[in-house]
Amino acid sequence: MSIIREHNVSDRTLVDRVLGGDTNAFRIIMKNTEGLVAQIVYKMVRNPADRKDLAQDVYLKAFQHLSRFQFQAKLSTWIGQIAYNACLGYLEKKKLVLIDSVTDEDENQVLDKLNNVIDPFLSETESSFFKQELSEILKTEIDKLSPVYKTLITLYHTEELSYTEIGEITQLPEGTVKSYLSRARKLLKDNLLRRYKKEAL
Amino acid sequence: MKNRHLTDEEIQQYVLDWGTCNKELLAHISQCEHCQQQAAQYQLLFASIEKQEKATFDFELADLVMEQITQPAPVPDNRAVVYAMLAIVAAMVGVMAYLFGNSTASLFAFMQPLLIGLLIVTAFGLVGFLGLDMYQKYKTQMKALNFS
Repeated sequence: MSIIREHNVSDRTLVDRVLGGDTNAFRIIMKNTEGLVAQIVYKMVRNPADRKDLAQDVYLKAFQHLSRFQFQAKLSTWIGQIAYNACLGYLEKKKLVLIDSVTDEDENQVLDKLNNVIDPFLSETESSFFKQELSEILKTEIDKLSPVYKTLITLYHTEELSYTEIGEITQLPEGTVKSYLSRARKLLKDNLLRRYKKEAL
Repeated sequence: MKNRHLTDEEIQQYVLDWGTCNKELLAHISQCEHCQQQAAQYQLLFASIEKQEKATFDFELADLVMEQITQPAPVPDNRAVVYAMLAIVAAMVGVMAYLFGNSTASLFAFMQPLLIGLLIVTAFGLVGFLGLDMYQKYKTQMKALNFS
């Protein structure tokens, strides 16, 4: 039996148990999908209190509408779709700009870090430190991307989802997902390079 | 071999899944330092993204949700009812066709083609209107549920 099939069987069992009244099975569903929901919510929403409310809303909605799940996709994908829609709704309601910007203070902090890390004579310890700093700089640069871009990047590179699965979560055609991802990666690479060049001058 | 440098999309494709790249692209990148450098930058970027710490909730989400979950109302399995209704409709159509099949055929034989056309257009128009109305209601409900 293929992995996908096994996954569906397990999804079906869990859904049937929940619909049969076993609410504890829903806890298992939550544990299985919480990581994906966290990635989406953290990438799209900045405010911690709102994240907490949204995450709860996502699962309450999933619970209420579980009988509508038709097993056409993985359960995690369906819940991811609810999370993505909830976050989009939140951004629209709050009239938040889709492209977040970092403050000057954040920018200065990043540049200070770069001052420290760009050194041609790095020892091993320093090199390890450099990697850690690079990781922090990258985190800042990812955060600067628009919520949709950073979510796509995370779903593809961190969650290792396929273009099809990302398309199902975001309800975007696969071609659009590919195109957005390509632009997001280029933007991220260019922004990182610009920072290094700026620093080198 | 390609004379121009590869696009970002092509370089990303090369880094992520070089097996799907065409020979021309592979031949270019094997001899072009500029494109190799671009590929190396993307490679470093992707590796760094993958190493990024995964976001996790700093609260017990499951406990919070389970507190609010009440026993779901049993979902009536209405599939049996739907199938029964479909069977009844099919049976009725069958009986009607058996009893009045010949009469219906002769009725259409005597009708003017213009009238038949008018009936077909009206029927399609009605179905289209009802379908559109149903779709709009569906969209409104989905939006209210925040599913769209």
